[in-house]
Amino acid sequence: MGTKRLREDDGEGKEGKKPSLIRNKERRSEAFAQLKREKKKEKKLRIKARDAREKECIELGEAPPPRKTPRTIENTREPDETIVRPDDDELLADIATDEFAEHFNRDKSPKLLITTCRKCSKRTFKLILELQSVIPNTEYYKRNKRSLKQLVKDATEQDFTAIVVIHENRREPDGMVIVNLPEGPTAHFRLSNLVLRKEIKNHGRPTSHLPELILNNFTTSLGHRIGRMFASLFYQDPNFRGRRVVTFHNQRDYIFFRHHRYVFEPKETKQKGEKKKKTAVIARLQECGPRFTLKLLSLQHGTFDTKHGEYEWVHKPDMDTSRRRFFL
Amino acid sequence: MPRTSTLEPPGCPAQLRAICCDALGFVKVVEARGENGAENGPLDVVARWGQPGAGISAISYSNSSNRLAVARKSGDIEILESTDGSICAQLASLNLDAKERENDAISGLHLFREDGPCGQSVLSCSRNGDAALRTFGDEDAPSPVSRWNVCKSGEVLSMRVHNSENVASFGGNRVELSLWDLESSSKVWEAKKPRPNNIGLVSLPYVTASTFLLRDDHRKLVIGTGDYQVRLYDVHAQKRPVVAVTFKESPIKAVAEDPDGFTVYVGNSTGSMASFDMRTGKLLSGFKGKLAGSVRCIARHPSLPLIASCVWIGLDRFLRIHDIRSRQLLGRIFLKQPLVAVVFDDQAKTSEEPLLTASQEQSQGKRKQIENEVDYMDKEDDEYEEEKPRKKKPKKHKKPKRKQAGKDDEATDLAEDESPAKKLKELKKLKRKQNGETSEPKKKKIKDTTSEKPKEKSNEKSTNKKKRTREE
Repeated sequence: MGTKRLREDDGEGKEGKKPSLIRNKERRSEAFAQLKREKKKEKKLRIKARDAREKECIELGEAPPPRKTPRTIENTREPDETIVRPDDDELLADIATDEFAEHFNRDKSPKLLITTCRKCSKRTFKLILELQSVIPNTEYYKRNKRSLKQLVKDATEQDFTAIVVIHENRREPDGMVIVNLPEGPTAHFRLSNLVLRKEIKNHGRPTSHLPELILNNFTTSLGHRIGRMFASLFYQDPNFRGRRVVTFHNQRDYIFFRHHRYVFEPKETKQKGEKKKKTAVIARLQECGPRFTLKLLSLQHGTFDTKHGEYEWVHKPDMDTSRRRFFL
Repeated sequence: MPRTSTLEPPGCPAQLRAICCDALGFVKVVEARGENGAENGPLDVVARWGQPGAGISAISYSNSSNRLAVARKSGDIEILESTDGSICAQLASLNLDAKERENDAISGLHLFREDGPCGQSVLSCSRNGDAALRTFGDEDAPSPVSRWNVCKSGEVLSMRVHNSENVASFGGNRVELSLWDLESSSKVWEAKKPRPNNIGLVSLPYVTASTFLLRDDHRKLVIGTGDYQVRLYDVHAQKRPVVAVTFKESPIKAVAEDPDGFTVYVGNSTGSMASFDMRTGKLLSGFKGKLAGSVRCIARHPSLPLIASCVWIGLDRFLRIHDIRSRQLLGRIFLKQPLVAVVFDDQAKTSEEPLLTASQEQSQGKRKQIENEVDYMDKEDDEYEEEKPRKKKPKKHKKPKRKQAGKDDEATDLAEDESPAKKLKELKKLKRKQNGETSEPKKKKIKDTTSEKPKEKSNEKSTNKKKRTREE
């Protein structure tokens, strides 16, 4: 009811009335497009003015006024007291005695068992093949009708350090369970946005060199633990000559898995107004291997036991009440 | 503009002092700091005792002797002074074999009252069912007073000693709940398996948490099982559970009773916490909040209407304090290590400053602890002598409804007020008075031996609270 009438304050704020108040679609879209154009112009002028001011300041020898930073969800993340600090001696003591300590002390080298859910499709098999090329020292075993608890027992006897189970839904892999072996924590992830190697344009073929590992943005205690868990799947000695890198990038509680080959190359760049060419060393990436996204659903203390197990972290819908609250 | 700041929980009342133990071996003392004399304040770690490495598997707190018994993963039991964490006694593990020690952690521990029937002793029960009652202190016989085996197979996960210190309950995985008499080390009562369900399956016993419901009656027990049930057993009624309620879908890890005699707080391994009325088996309320991990231990404050829960959240290990009546989260603190147990210390706040960084703790905190200790020692001796004659008076509180008894109550209350008031006049503060008055009427209904705790600013009369023992 109120939208039809024009209120007086509409005319004051901005030039003319809001485009959303115009009921005619054609006119409304015209008005909106014009508004956008004007905003763009204004922005250009602002930037020009800002650059001119900065140039003046530099010429005068003063420090230019600081630039404003845009507000992002990561910027405005809810402050979390569990964020890990590097000087925390309790954390160091904890790390020295947790389940992954043996791996980081190089007492144990990783040996992975990959398997699937009971009945799975072609796509899952392809993912497993690709994962075998990414993660060193993995063995694939058919699941048949074994229970996961039994599998855990058998694998511990054969000195595996972790089991990775790929779950499927509607002929598409959608879950991943990582069970760390002797008594380790069990993490259950949701797997999404899977892109296999062949589906990537200009993909590269990975070699068998040991990959480097990049773990980005695992800031909280829980995130740190998950990061260590991913690290315990890979060897501690990357072969830098192989120029292979595996990345687990955490952003807003989604973990992005990427597998690249990189190369450092000198590149000549020409800048405006300068006659000489500048050579800079840049890194070029070629993506190989699968690409997928993981989201942590639960972290269980101890090996897989959904009935009587104890959970360190379980995702509950109560936690999603704030868009600026993240747990990893 | 979206809300970018978090809602801070309102603080906890300033007398709060809780002691938490974690799996790394630290014993942390957490207090509520009221800023500038404010009533409520946020929680802070005030002291941290112990070295990393010797993980703690069970603890027991004795209000009367102000001591904390701590069982380490190696099987050794240490008895610490709860004021400063100094070790008063140490009991070596009964298992001599190193391998045995690893597998046989102590899952239940109880520190007896010094003036109780057992004296300065500790009852410990290991996972394999090896229960031992041992004395410590100046006496010459460190060997166990009595030692018996609770079960032949299975693991004992929960042990509780009743307030009267005559009877203890044991239960665990494939270990049926049983009551043992401590003097004769004999089994007094054992629960029976519940009836087979409609398919004909009988569930194996899997007691994960237990507690005695009433202070003066050892016959009522509430247990939490691994099959998601909360059960009430009445020893004199029947061997099968009287009331059995299923709570959600994960094993119940912690059970704590309320002094009112029928409410029970229950926490499970996916982080849900709720309170039940055990007379009817009804779910009274749930506790909301970012409880994402297994609730390892729930402690009910003896006098204030608060409960603390030790919650495990990933590596984010939080201690949470909730108000019972409003079920609101009053405060929470991140304690960095996986927590094992929490106990409320009913003593007054010490004047230690909150831990700024862990590195500073050892230099600053410890110094202050020593300073405070000196003060305590002087008053302790005086106060102890007073306690004994006063113990007889509270017995009149049994039937508060009768007019005559009511009058007596008032008389005794006044008497109780006066004597501590005289002694502790110098040390009393305003904060203490507020809470002292509100907590008294509750204590009337419950029969308990009140004992005055000597402390710098000792406030409430602490009731002899059973210790919270948690297994790993």
